[in-house]
Amino acid sequence: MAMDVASGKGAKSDINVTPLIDVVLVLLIIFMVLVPSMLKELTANVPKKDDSNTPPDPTAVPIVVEYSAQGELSVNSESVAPEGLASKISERLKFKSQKVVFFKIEDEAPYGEAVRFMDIVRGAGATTLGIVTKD
Amino acid sequence: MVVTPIIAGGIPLELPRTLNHDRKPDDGKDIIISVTRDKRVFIAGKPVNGSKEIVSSIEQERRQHPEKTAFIKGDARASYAAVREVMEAVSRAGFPDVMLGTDDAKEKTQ
Repeated sequence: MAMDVASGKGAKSDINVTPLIDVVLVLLIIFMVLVPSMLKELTANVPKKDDSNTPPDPTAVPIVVEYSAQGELSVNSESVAPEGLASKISERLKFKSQKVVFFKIEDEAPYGEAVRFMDIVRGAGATTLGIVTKD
Repeated sequence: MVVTPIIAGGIPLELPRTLNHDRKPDDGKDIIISVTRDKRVFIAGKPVNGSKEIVSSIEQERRQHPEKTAFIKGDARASYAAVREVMEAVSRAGFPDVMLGTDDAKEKTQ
């Protein structure tokens, strides 16, 4: 700080803003670091290719959501409207101990739509999302 | 504050918007794989071409940082095939699961 030449008499009446600026700058730096670090995510499991020869349990029919490039949505080959997806999934998940839903999506479908349905299914109570891959 | 997220983001992407996602802070333990609208793939900010190179780059990243997880940021307008190819490569590299990056539907409305 500049030195005050003692010409005037009495106490200096200006407010010292330097500490205020210090605090504001520190807060600014904290926010600059925090803002980009908030990543949002959806978890999805990609199934491993099955190498074992154990037969699958016939009683456990997995829930498979299919979505075609033409925009047709179906659950286990039963066609369903996007608005009805949530209720259909939660109804089917009710009797399952493992809340797993698989997705079989055609290559030409837009990725954004695929994620939208994953989001709906997750909202309907699925904890694990699986993606069906090709051999 | 305005400029930092733009610099940090690097590759311009329009992420799909979701409501039922988990929030997690960026702890630097993610291998971020970006898929743009025109099917270009970036691994940790570096461009990668061809499906073979995608697999080998992810495997290389996995070997270098075995503690890291895979985080895919796919553009909502990209075709599902482009993102699925990356997910398969991630699976082949030995990751048990993959995270998909999304934006909050409540924060940004269009």
